[in-house]
Parts: sequence; structure tokens; C-alpha cells
Amino acid sequence: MKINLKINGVWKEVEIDPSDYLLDVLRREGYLSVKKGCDTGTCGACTVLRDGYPILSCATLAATCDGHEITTAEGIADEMEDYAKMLAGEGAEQCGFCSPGLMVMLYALKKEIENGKVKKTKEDIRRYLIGNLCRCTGYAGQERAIFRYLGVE
Amino acid sequence: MPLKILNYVRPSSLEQAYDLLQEDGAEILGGTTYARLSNRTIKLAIDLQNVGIGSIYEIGDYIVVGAMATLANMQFHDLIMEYADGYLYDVISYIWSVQLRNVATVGGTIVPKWGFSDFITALLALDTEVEFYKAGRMNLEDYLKGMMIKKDIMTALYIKKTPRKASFKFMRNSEYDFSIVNVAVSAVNQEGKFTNWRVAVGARPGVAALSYKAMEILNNSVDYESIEKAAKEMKNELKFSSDFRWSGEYRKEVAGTLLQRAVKEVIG
Ligand SMILES: Cc1cc2nc3c(=O)[nH]c(=O)nc-3n(C[C@H](O)[C@H](O)[C@H](O)COP(=O)(O)OP(=O)(O)OC[C@H]3O[C@@H](n4cnc5c(N)ncnc54)[C@H](O)[C@@H]3O)c2cc1C
Ligand code: FES
Ligand code: FES
Repeated sequence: MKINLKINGVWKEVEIDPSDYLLDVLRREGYLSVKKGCDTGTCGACTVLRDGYPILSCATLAATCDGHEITTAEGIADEMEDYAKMLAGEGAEQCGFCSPGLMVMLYALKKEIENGKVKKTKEDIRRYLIGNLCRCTGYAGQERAIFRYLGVE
Repeated sequence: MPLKILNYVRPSSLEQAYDLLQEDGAEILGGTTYARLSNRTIKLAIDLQNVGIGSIYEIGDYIVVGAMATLANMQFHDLIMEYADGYLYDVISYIWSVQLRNVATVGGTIVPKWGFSDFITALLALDTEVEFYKAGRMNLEDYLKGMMIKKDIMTALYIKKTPRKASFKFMRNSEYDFSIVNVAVSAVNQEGKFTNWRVAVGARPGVAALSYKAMEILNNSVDYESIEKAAKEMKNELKFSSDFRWSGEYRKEVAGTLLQRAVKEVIG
């Protein structure tokens, strides 16, 4: 079947199988920032935005996204550069596999803080990012970097 | 073999969706977060996003939550954040991640009656009803106790805005795991006097059930002794079993402790 996705601001007609998950479709279309970690909805490596909200692309059928807007890390390249420097500055990245998913979440988190849905406290930020697992860093560096970047004491 | 879908449709009315569902091998899609973990074939997958059952609003004494609302839509809705001091906002925040809650739907979380569900236990401690397109509206408790309703569509969840104070407690092996046992308790707060108690225990590992004995004891008095007695009677009344996570005996003991903590939190 054919579906239409607005990926990073550009409408695309994509041929899919009804069983395809969004993660596989996006990777097939060349959006390689979207990572397959657990493929069970647990690790957050596959996070993308659908209509502005972060979702698990491994747990979302591509067909259900027909007509919707998808943003991957490639679509927020300027912010990604900032975030990458911020993480590297605190030694908060090792293999980097979890980073695109985490950064898409950070982008969404900033918006939620701006519109008052998430409080700018360590506890609330930790809860918001709980679904982004990292095998390498032990989280301390990531937390330090994100708290400093958001100005949370 | 992962979940296989042969055909996908997005009907534009409930009537159309219901008719399609009667076909052999047809199934409803919620957010597909759990359905995807099974390995079966769906001949016709019916996506309800265009049938108009995704909104959250008030009718009379009830908050109505459309079955296609996501858990995140529900969590952040003003009506939910305000009711019972944000009790449901807190409970939903324990269901894994923001990304999961932005996809998982209210219907997909209630219909399968999963034993491990935190959401169902929390709702059972309130005055809640579920509505199906053909089967109509029924108490959540009756739905949970009854046979699985097949080939029908859940349309909405109704939460009566009784002035309740509520508490939800769970035990997990780690924050990332499912609850091994969970307890939700609520009472109507009438100027500091607590009446009309509801006590729900889930992940036993069977689906949540009310403890009528505990409710009766608490409705008579809520002092230290009766809270202990309510926990004891609940442990005798409800069935706890073992699975690969915990033994039934251990679940039972922990449930008793969680019940006491929850009641004490409600009375403050
Ligand atoms: C990583 C992970 C962690 C989780 N952690 C927790 C947790 O901590 N606590 C907890 O309680 N749960 C947890 N869950 C379970 C989670 O709550 C469910 O995956 C989710 O709620 C299912 O919703 P869904 O909309 O994706 O359902 P789906 O998977 O789409 O559907 C489930 C079933 O419901 C049926 N269905 C859906 N909508 C309707 C409808 N309107 N009418 C009739 N039938 C319908 C479908 O046909 C299907 O059989 C977790 C799940 C995952 C993947
Ligand atoms: S790959 Fe999607 S959550 Fe891990
Ligand atoms: S840096 Fe390796 S998984 Fe996070």
C-alpha cells in the first residue's frame, strides 16, 4: 500500500507493507538517525516526533501515520549540533547509539517546559527522559549535561 | 514471527468500523504497542483514528474519555489533572515512558484486561464505567468479571466525579518492570469523614478485583486496628497466585502492606 508522510517538512509518498513499523520505513527511506535498539518499546532509541509529540517508531505501525507529520533527528539538525556539543562537553557520550533518540526527546522536553506541561526540576526532567536507555554512560554524564544546558540547579 | 497484518483500513464512522470488525480475522488497532509483541496474523486491521472517539470532555457528573485518546492525552487533560488531586495523572506517569504513553490508547489499555495493568487497578478504585458500541455501558467491575467482549468496539471510559481521595501503590522489581502487585484505594471525602471506600488489588497476577470485606470494615471505622483488619480480610478474600516473577504468598503479604499504606495516605 502507499502512504503519505510529511517527513522533516517534506511530503513523501512511500510504499509500505501493512505490517511495517514506522522505524523500518524511516530507515529504509534513509533516515538513519532512527535506531533500532530493543524493538519492543523499551529503550527509546527509535524516538521520533509525530505531529510534534515523541513516539516510539518501533511500536507504531507505519500505516497509522498516513497523513501525519514525522520529525527525525535529521529534521532538527541545528538543535542536534547544539545538543551534541553539550553532551560531548560533559563526556556524556560513548558509543552514541542512544543519542539521536535522547536528543529528539530533549527537543520535545524543551517545548513541554515552555508550554508549562513539564516543570523544570531535576525530578520532572528525569521522569520525562526515563524511556531513553543508555548502555554505556550510566546516565550521570547525560544528566549533568542536560541539567546544565537547561539551567536546572 | 512478528505480528503480520494482511490488510489495513481506516473507516470514518463507528458503524463502518463495527461492520468491518465482523469479518473473519478482523481486529481493532489501538496504539499497537502491545499487540505488536504477539506473533499472529491479523487479516484486517481496523484503525479507529478517524471515527471520532478520541476526545475527553465532561457530561453531567462524568468525565468522558474516548477510547482512542492516548494515555498522554488523558494524563495531561485539565479534567484529569484536577480530579482527585491529580490521582490519575500520577498513576499514568508510572506506565513506562512519555513516548509509549503518546501512542498507547485508553481502549487498548482497558479492553484486554491484563492482570499486570496499573491503569485498570487505579480505575477500579474510582466510580468508573466502560462503554462499547453494541454491548453498551457497564461498570468497569462487571466488565472485568465478565467474559471477554468479542467483535465489539470500546468507545469510552466514564469516570464519575465523586469527591474521592485516592491512593495507588505498587511493588516492582525495578522501575522498568511491570508491577508485581498493585493496590488502589479511595474514599468519598465528606468534610473530613471518609465513606464509601473502594479497595482494588491487581497484578495478583490476575486482573484487578475489589475486596468487599476490606471495604465493609473501612466503611464501619478507619482506625489503626480496622486498617490492619481490612488488610487481613483482603488477603483471605482475594486469590493470589505465583508466576515467574513472585510467589503468590509473597504477593499476598506485600498487598496487605500496600493496602495499609494506601488507606493511611487517603486519611492523611
Ligand atoms: C515497554 C512497555 C512497558 C510497559 N509498562 C507498563 C506499565 O508499567 N504498567 C502498565 O500498566 N502497562 C504497561 N505496559 C502496557 C501498556 O500499558 C500497553 O502496551 C498499552 O496500554 C496498550 O495500548 P495500545 O493502545 O497500544 O493497545 P494495542 O496494543 O493497540 O491493543 C491491545 C488490544 O486491545 C484491543 N483494542 C484496542 N483498542 C480497542 C477498542 N477501542 N475497542 C476494542 N478493542 C480494542 C486490540 O484489538 C488489541 O487486542 C507497557 C508496555 C510496554 C510495551
Ligand atoms: S527500538 Fe523502539 S523502544 Fe527500543
Ligand atoms: S552512549 Fe552508548 S548507548 Fe548511550
